[in-house]
Amino acid sequence: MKYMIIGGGCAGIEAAREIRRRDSEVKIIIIDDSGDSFIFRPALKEYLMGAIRKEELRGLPAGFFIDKRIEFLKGTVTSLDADKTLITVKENGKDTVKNYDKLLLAHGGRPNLPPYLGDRDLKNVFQFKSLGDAESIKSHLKTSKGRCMVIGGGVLGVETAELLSRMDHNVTLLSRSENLVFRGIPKRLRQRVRNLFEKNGVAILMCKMVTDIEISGDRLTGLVLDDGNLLEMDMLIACTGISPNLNLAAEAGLEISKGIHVDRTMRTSRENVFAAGDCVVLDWSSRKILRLWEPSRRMGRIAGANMTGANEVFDPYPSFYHTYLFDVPLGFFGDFDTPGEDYDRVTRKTDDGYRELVIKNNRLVGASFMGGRPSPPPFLHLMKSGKKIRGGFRQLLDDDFDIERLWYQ
Amino acid sequence: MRKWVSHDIDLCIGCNRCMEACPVTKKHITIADLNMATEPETEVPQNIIDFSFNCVQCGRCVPVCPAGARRDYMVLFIKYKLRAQKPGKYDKYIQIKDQDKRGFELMKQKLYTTYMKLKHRDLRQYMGSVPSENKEILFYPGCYINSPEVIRRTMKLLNFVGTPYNILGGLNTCCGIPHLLIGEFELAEKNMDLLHAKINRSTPKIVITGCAECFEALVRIKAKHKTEYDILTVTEFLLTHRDKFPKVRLRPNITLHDSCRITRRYNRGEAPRKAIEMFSKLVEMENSREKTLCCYYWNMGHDGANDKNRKKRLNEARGKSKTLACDCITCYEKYVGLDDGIEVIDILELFEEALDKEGGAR
Repeated sequence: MKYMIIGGGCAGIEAAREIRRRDSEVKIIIIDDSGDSFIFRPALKEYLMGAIRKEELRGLPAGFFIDKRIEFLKGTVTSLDADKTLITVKENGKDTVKNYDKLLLAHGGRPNLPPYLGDRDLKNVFQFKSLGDAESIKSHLKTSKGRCMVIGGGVLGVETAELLSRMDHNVTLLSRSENLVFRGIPKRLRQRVRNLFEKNGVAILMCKMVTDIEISGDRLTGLVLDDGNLLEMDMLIACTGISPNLNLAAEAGLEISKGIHVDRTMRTSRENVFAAGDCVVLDWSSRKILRLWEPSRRMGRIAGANMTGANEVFDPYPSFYHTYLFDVPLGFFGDFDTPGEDYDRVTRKTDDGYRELVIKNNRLVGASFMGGRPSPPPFLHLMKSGKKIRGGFRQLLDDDFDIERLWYQ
Repeated sequence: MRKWVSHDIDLCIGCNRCMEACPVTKKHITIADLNMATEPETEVPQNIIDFSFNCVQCGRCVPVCPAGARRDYMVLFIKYKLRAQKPGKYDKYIQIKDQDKRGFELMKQKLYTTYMKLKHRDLRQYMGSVPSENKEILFYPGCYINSPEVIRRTMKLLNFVGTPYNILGGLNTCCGIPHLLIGEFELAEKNMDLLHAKINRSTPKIVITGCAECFEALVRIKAKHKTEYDILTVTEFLLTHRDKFPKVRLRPNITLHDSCRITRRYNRGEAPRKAIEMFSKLVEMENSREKTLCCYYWNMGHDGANDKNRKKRLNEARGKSKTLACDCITCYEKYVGLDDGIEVIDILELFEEALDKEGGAR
């Protein structure tokens, strides 16, 4: 039996591990174009800041591939034939055709660039996804004095803006929509996040479109906004989302839309082809796209298990995101953004933040907060189990609520 | 636990902030190695075995995690995995502490208790007996009944306040947290269940303790058995009677050593602060509240750098004040007498001194 995994990110690696855990004999091959074995990609921020060294980014213990007898191949998969179960891999400039018994597409996506930049090769425009990106940003920042422009108000955008600001750079965050962090963020929370950034010296421009750009040589020097203002800058980091890699899936005739369609068991529309991670879309779930670290790992594991014949199911609910921005905790859980009248919202403003719970039919279905003492796992447990707590959910908003209590619910 | 731990491994984004915050000795540990060692079926490499036994379960790694993962539980799970090979120091520690000892170990426990009873005759009636008379307050010192100075002080203050109280103490009333902290989950659970039954015999309205570990056990018992009584630290209880205490100024200023459990874990750091403000002026150290450092007790001396770390902490305190107050008996006992340059006090000493001072004036 030959298991082929395209992509050595967290989903791919987790799948490989799961396959090996269940079967010590089969052949497992991971094909990855970067050649880097799995790194903690979210920790690239810490790397950029100089808090951790390159070795510490490594997501796997040394000798992992040898121990687990997993073959790691540096190469690019250029075509997939799901009828003949064949893939073509380009290694060192040479094409090789390989066959598989089970295939996992875990090749993620690539970061988008704002359309107004076209396909010019500009030396001070960066993306922030790979170790290579982090290296280039790092070396540019050494000499950079002027304004750092961060484009995109999503998770990556706000995290990058916070990071640069903490590194004492002059940062402006530009978002084309009125949302920050996530779509559907409660208005008052959004205002708090905005205030927090402004308090820390980050300018935030929302609902602004770029109408023109200014270039000098091979450098981008300014953005012209729809209000006529010119924003001069020294560098730009584009955090404008990720587009899944769909070429192979399209070629093989897999069902695709904004990603590769998978069912709850991570099977695609073709037999023996699975997909997991950033490249998939869950068209059966209210959370269709979950391009976050933890669900990708879980998806990978479930795909791996099911490739060996199991029938495990991926549950995207409740998805969540949690981070610190300027040392203030910020978290989003489950259906924090669901509109509608049959949802009760319990909110509380505090000195340093805002908290909101979303309750439906006496069940906690979502929460968002800033500040306080959060502890995501028990919250998630409460949402998933549908259990109530004695004294009502409102207590969850209290500063001195004993979160440990939930473990026994 | 297993389920939560594997969930937390998935959450980990490898930012290393937990290891940055960790105060104990660790050699060449990467997050990748640590996560791998935490998984239920994997082997634990030697450097992680050492680190896990050095871990004091102070929880300093928890509030710094951007993904909200519980590194403390993850390392505790490693301790659980390694419980068959735990070091002698760990074993020695729980040899006489337990509510359900049998055979030779029970004999040892009884011998020790008899020795303590003879040594501290005034406290002997509280060592190992379970009160059954209904009284509003239950003072639960557990194993620290064997720290007579602190017990006498607490009793003096409780007598002064005047609310009727029972005392539940002794090695055979151990709260189970020592077992939990060395990875003996089943023993911990059993001890907590037995303690629950012992507390219930006197149906208290409030249970008070001065030990952070006992406090944690009480909170866990309350959550599990849904008990009605309130749980307070001794300081919190005394503060509810603050008006009875004389208003005297005791020292120019005092700094506070926060407890890992009472302050960081349960967010109950206000009471010791208010207590200090009653009699003196509070000066905060930089590593206070959530950032507090440990007393390095709960690795049972496995980490050779414990004393060095404690001295570092006392140095930090010395930079702020001539007096360091501890709210938890465990912290107090680990810091007192370690450094001549700073006075370390149990926070209850302030209440006691205030009484003595006023008594003297009269």
